[in-house]
Amino acid sequence: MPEWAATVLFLLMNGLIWGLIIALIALGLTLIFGVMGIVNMAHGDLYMVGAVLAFFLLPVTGSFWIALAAVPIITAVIAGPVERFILRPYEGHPAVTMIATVGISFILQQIALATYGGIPKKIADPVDFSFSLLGVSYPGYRLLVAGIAILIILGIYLFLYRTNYGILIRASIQDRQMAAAMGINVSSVLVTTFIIGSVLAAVAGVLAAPISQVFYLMGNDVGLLSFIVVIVGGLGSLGGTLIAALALCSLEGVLASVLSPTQAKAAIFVVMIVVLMVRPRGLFGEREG
Amino acid sequence: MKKWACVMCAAVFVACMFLLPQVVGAQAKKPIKIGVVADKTGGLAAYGYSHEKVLRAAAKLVNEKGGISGRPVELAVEDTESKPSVGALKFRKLVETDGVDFVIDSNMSGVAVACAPIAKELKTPYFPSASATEISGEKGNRYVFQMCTSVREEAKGTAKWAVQNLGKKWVIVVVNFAWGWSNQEDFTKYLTENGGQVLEAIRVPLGTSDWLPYLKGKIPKDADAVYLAAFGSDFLSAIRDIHAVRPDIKKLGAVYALAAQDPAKLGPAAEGMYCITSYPTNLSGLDTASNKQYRDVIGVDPAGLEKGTGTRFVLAYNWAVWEAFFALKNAIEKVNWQDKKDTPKVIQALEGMELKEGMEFPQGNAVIRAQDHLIQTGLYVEKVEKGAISVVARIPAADVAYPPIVDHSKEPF
Repeated sequence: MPEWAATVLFLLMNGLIWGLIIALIALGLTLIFGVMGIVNMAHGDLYMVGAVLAFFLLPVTGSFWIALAAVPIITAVIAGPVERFILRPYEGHPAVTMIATVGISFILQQIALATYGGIPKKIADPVDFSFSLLGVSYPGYRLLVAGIAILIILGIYLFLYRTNYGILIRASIQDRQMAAAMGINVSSVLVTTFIIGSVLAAVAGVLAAPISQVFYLMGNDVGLLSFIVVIVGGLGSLGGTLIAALALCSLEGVLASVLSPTQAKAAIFVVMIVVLMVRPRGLFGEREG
Repeated sequence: MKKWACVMCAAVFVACMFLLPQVVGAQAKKPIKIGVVADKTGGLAAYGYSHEKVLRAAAKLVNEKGGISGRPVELAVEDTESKPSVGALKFRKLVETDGVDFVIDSNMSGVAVACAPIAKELKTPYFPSASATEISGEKGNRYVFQMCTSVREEAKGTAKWAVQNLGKKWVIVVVNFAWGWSNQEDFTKYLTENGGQVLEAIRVPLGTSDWLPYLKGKIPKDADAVYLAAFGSDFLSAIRDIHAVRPDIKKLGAVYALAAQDPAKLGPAAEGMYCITSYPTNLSGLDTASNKQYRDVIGVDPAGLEKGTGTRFVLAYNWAVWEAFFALKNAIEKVNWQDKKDTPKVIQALEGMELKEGMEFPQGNAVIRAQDHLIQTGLYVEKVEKGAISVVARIPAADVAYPPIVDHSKEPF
């Protein structure tokens, strides 16, 4: 295989693996928006919280996998009251809830800075093997992360499309008033959705911690990319979000082989603008009404 | 009645006799206010924490010994949020609202460049701890003193050593902002002058988690070494991915890339890597009595850990804020500075000031060059081996120095 073809193929595969991690975060973001109508500006910080919690739990538990199991529980304990006491009072006021989530974002960042500190730190790969992928000594852990991400996404799909509670959530996404009129406990659906969305981000944070260093501002970069993914995929569309995450991350990877790194990053924004010009509700967004 | 008035007059007179000296004395003991623009939050938060701690230790030490010229020192600290716009605003607030007479810090070159013209406008001496070459070049002025080594000094000092020890064919990888560009430009210039060759230069956006797309296929097979100008999480991601693409290539990090990192946890990606520094991480790298004393006062152990917390402390340029503080103290005492009208005399005293190694100047002998206000001092090269950092080369100040770009000493006040 010629060198350039190997490079492009490698970048495509690497992009797909990153796309799966981004998809985890973006799915939570789009789920929260779809059900609750909340643009969660603190979503990237929940990803950071997951990574920081993993950093603190690792020496206590001694196992990365126990930390991975414990973080969702802790995140749920944080996310539940946030939804009930901070966001619920402003339900139906998108601008206010958005500002409230900006406040939550600052609070989470400053708590992390005060406790964890401002130095980026590294968590060792929980599995120590690498393999040769088209001339690159590729860390095996990334492949494992991709596998776990696929399992989680599959689990979310089965939960939403194969369980009764999933039907309630989807009904609430389609028409909340009608769902409430049919006797669905929308209050419970709201808090559950917010917890699921937050847990998805936090789990992505734990999984990404050994790859992308733990830093109290690590949510900023990823948060922005997740927003782009959700907008391109179509706000509230779960399938669209998954496809957009995979497509954008592999596109950025491939573009990096022909453009400069900064141009490749900028190109993603160009794609977003073009998509919005052609389809203002994103690739898979549905028209209201 | 007259008698009573006489008694009153006498009482007032006696009171004046007793109280006046105290009033005058209080005036003489009016605190000297020093502003600090520290990067307490944002990307450089760890640096801001470290610099504030070091300056507070310096102020405490001086106040315990009677202050500067018998006047106590008062620090006013503001957070730049690691943003130039905020830093400039806080600089103005410190001078105009809090009434500080001098300002120290910001490790961020962008903040230093933004504050430099304000220092001139408000006639307030400013001592940033940021290394962009422009600070002691076109962007500086008579009120700005660069008390840490500049990127150009660092590149010039190391390029010769790099060609002799690591190889001739280089790839330069930098983060895509002013500091990275300065590193690329200056290292390329001095590498070429010393017989080296730059095969490829790659600029990667700040805050990139995955560097593989930008490195795969970009590092030529015949390249001997990579010069990497990145810090914090960028640095960690970059060395990990350089190692994945070319495990055999030698790596040289720009100044302080290794700052506050635990070498034992960096893994195989950092093993064998070199890094430039102007202040060694371990006490053993600069094993002098004054350095030991300095570390004791700021609360850092010989391995670079903060006493009390046991966590890694950003040593990086904090010697530069400490030495700026004491250079300023010496200048104030030399010219017997009273208030702002004496500030030009302080600046003249600082221009060409020789800093003699000791508790006040633990980094070693140095000179504040009169023309461009840039400190002239030596550098070190550190290496990570078996999960530990050690100094492998010392570069004398003479090899680091380059001719001044500007001459501020002739500018009017």
